[in-house]
Amino acid sequence: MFNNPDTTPSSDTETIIGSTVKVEGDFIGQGNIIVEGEVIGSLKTDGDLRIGSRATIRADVTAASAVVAGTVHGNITTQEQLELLDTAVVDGDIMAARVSMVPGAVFNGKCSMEQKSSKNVAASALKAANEEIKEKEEDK
Amino acid sequence: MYLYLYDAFISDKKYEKTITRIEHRLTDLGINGRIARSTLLTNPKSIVRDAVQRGVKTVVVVGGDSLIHKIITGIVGTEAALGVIPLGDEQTLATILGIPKNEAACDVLSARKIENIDVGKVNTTYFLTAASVLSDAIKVTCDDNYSIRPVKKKSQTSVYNFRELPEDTPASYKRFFSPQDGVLEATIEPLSFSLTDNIFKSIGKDRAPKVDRIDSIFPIKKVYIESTEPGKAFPVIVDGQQMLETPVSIEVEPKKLKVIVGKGRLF
Repeated sequence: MFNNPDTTPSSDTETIIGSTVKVEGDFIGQGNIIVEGEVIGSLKTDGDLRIGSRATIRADVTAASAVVAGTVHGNITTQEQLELLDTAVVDGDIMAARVSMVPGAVFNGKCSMEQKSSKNVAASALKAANEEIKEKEEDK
Repeated sequence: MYLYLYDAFISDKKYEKTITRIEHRLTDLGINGRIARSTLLTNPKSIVRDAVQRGVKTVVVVGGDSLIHKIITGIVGTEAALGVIPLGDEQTLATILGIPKNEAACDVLSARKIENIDVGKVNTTYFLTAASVLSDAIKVTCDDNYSIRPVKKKSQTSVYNFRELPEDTPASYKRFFSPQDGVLEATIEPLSFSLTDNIFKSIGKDRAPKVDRIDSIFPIKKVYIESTEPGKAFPVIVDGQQMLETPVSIEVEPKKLKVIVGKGRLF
């Protein structure tokens, strides 16, 4: 896996969800995330998200920006760029400031790109996620 | 005040001259102290705990990983610092801390460069490197938020505080596994049962597992690991020294251990 330049982590990568793993629940990350496995539930990060070609996500996704090469059954919300590559399959609504879709990508859903609203919604979702993390840490 | 805790095996005659040189060097440096010996009849953890409560500021293990693992519970969270004079074969922790073997370690002790490092805790047992479960029939619940299950057979799940990485590791992986980042890293990777690794082990050349065998890395503060097979428990290997059983609760205790380090430390 790590010899594949598409999934080699950048120096800011915080989490790698590999192809031999299934994650269930509310995943809230801080930092960049690479997904090659299966995620069920919700996936939120304040960093960049890379969804590899072998990944299957059955969750609503929120990130600063995202590159999708795998399958997502759920809504995707990004503050900045959302890029769907030729192997991407998205069944759900997308909301992003900028969207790039190459030939071969499959998208079934609504697309909202009004800059103000998509940024606000993504920013609110991320703020709520961060507050959730802080609350849980304070409870501990 | 220094406490020197001698490992049981160094009473062997082959270490006699080395011990004499070490003791002379400690005296020359002005850092000699009380000597205690770990034997079948003594409890090293209690020796250390009592000494720290009486005001000992530095506990030095003269020996190897096994004794270090036994006594860290008595030092974690206190003002005492852990030092090491490595003797014997099992020296993973001394290597991490950058401590040279034999009497050269005395000069490192004298320099007294101290770092605060994280420790991991499995139930009530502390660990410095890793806790590993050699089974794929487990469920790992992370930070009370989400769970991880391996879907591939013959994989192992480990929770690392620190991991030595091979020299050819890409730079982007070197940010993981730091013992000073306040988190542990839960990883999923194939079980290390390769024929090549076993051959190297048999000739005394352990190879640090290549990082490209790691499939997943999750930074976490707390995990709960349980078996998914009803009524069945799996072994949990702690620091390569102690075996517990699932279910286990593992969490990080950030910067809870003071250690004396050398220039060659790996963090």
